[in-house]
Amino acid sequence: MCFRYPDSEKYALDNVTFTVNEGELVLLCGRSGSGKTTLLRLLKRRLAPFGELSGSILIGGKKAEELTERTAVSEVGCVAQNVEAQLVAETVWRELAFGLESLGSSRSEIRRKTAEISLYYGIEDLYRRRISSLSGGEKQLVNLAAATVCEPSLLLLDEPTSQLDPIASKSLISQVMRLNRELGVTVVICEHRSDEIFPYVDRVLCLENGRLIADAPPKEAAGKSCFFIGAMPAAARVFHTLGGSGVCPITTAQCRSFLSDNYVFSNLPAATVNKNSPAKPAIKLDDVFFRYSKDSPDVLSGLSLSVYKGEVLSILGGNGAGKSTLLKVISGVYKPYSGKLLLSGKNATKRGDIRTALLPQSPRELFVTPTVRDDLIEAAKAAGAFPSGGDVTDEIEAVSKKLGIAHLLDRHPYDLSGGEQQKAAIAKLLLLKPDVMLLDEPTKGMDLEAKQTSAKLVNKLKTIGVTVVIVTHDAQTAALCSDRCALLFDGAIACTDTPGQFFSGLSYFTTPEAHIARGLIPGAVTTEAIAASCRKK
Amino acid sequence: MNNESAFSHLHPLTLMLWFSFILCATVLTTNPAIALLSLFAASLHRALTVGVKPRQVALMAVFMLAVTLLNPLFSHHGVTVLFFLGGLPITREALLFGAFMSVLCAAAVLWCSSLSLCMTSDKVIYLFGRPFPKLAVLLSLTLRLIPLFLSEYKRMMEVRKACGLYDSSSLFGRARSSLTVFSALVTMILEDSVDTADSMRSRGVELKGRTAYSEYRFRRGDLLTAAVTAAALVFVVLSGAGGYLGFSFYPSVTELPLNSAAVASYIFFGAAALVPSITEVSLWRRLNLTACASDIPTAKNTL
Repeated sequence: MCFRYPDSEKYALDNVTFTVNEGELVLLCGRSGSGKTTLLRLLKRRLAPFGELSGSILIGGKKAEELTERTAVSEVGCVAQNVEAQLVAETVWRELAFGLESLGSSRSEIRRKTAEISLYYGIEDLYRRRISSLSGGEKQLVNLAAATVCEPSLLLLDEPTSQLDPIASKSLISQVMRLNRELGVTVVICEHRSDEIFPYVDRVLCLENGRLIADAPPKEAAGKSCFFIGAMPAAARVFHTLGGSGVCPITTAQCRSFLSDNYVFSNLPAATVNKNSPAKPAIKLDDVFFRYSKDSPDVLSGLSLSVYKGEVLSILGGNGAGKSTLLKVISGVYKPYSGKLLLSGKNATKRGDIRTALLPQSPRELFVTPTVRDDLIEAAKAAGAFPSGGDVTDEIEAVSKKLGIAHLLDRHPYDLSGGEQQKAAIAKLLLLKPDVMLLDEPTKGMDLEAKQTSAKLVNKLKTIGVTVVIVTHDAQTAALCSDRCALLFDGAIACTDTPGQFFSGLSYFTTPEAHIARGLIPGAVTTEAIAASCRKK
Repeated sequence: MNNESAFSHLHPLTLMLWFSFILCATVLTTNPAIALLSLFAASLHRALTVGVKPRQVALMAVFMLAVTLLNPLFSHHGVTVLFFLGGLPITREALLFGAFMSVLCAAAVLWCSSLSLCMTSDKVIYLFGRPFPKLAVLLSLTLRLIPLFLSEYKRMMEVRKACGLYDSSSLFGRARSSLTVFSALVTMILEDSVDTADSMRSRGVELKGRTAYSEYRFRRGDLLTAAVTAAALVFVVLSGAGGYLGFSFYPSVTELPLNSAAVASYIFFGAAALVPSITEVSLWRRLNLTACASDIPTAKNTL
């Protein structure tokens, strides 16, 4: 099968041939722009993009275009990545009934099926809730339930977890696997973070530039070195980084035995910890208490924390631990009701000499104009009140070159890809000339490669002299780019340490690499660190 | 969901019938007995569901007093002059008419607030969606957008504040900031609507023969309420049309009609108006009874 978009010379999908057997769980991976989404959309009649299609798509032995409208709707279910925009109704029960209403089902049938699906996913208590009161994970689960309520035999998932936190995405993935295992639903899933699902899929398909470069069971696929390394689970990454031979491990246990069978380990060089750090705290929070309203519980209770000038501090914490709230307290959006917030030694009420800038979870919330350039001008002008020499346009050119977004300046900010949007947002924030940059979940939904790019970006900020505070769920992000890590729990900081010490001290809330290295190489929390300390037997 | 009254559990059609009858009868009959009955029943229902809040009661009293006193200042009809104010006659009839209007308005306001509590968006969607399923989809989409819009607006504003991009120094600056965010939000929502449309299409919104699912059932309570309402409707309309309910303030206040048709209308109207309160109290009684019944075995166990 080949496919080409109307205005494009290049084929978005080039000679792609594969079969998915009934009841299989298939992982579709590839870099962004490799044609994954196009492929998935071609499988769903109503979503198929316009363009020139040659070859054929057979679904259940029938040509896709010969299916009746009705079967095309009921037989193939879809869940996409934009959690919020997929929801069409105001309440959960209405959302669940939507597909069935379209099919013209009778009242009793709809009642039976929505009841059944709620029980299956364990969302009975959400049934009567308003969609707007649900969390992101709950919303995506409702999307999955709404897509499966018509009992499809094929389910297409396009990066369903990319906007979810790790815990919510794990539970969503486990529900998808359950659908496949228990009900025999055929599943084609496109997923960036494959650690979770990789070992359990039946087959892995890998696209690169519209060509299918791998179609094999996970073990074989992971063994291929040409294979896109960002999509592999940590175990396979370690294997490839070490240049291992033989059967590629894909689970933590397999990788541990692979390492202990073939390698001896040397201790990592102790991280240079500057105990009496000469830098002054840029931000100091002293016994801070905050709550949203009079009757609500404390979100921050007795939190004390120092952020030193020029460092990168990652604050980790679970869902609803108050991470985003903490950032908003630091940036002055919320005022603590007790305790002190000192910015470079001074009381936070006078925020003259320290400027903070906040990168929100979804960077597009920062853009308010039709082009990236206009947004950058807005920021540069806002900072203009503070002493800064040179012309606005020069400054914009300089910053956008530094971040590699010079070619995007005239695009609409919403048309950029996730990574580009993040870069543009950081450019905007840099023009505000902040001393402290606060990043809220900068790597949400990213694969390892994208995380590494973001880590590089953070390091760039550090070299410019910007102090960076990151809050994140993701241990990998924190391990990649921070000087210090802190754990936020129960409204206060539970511990603070260097990444190596921090993650090897934690047993559960840590990187997959740290799980692999546990007990073998103390302090190794990244693939690079593991590779550095392994010597072949 | 604490404000949800027992009355609101009735079928949307029953509720629509009941509310339209009560509101129309209250406003259109110009009969003080009906207006007073209506105000009494509305206040009772509000007290039973939302509770008595001193501030609201005070506000309502001030409002009623204002309406009562303002009417004679502007209307000088009527034959019984009480005194002259700046050369203009203040009449007893105008004062009484003002009082009547204040009762009427207060009753209408209270009923409308009950209506907004009982007629949730779900029920509105149901009422319109049954004859026009596509309209139901549209309504539901719109109702979803409102909270989405508000929360996103708040988030974007907070981000701008956190980055020092929010100009709070002047009213003009604040207005401009809001406008900037607002226009960006509209674009954002339009952008997202592409995905929404995809999601709807993949779930077959374009198929013919769409049904509108609802969770409502027509129960015995609905039948009872509808019957009482229908009876009251018949009596009030017939007596009203026959002129048995006639009452006028000008030129002089007439006597309250107490013929048999009028008395029957008052009784049926009163009964209909009290239905929500009765529903409420009977639910409480039933709940109390079951609570007591479940206490008995525990008492035995402790012995």
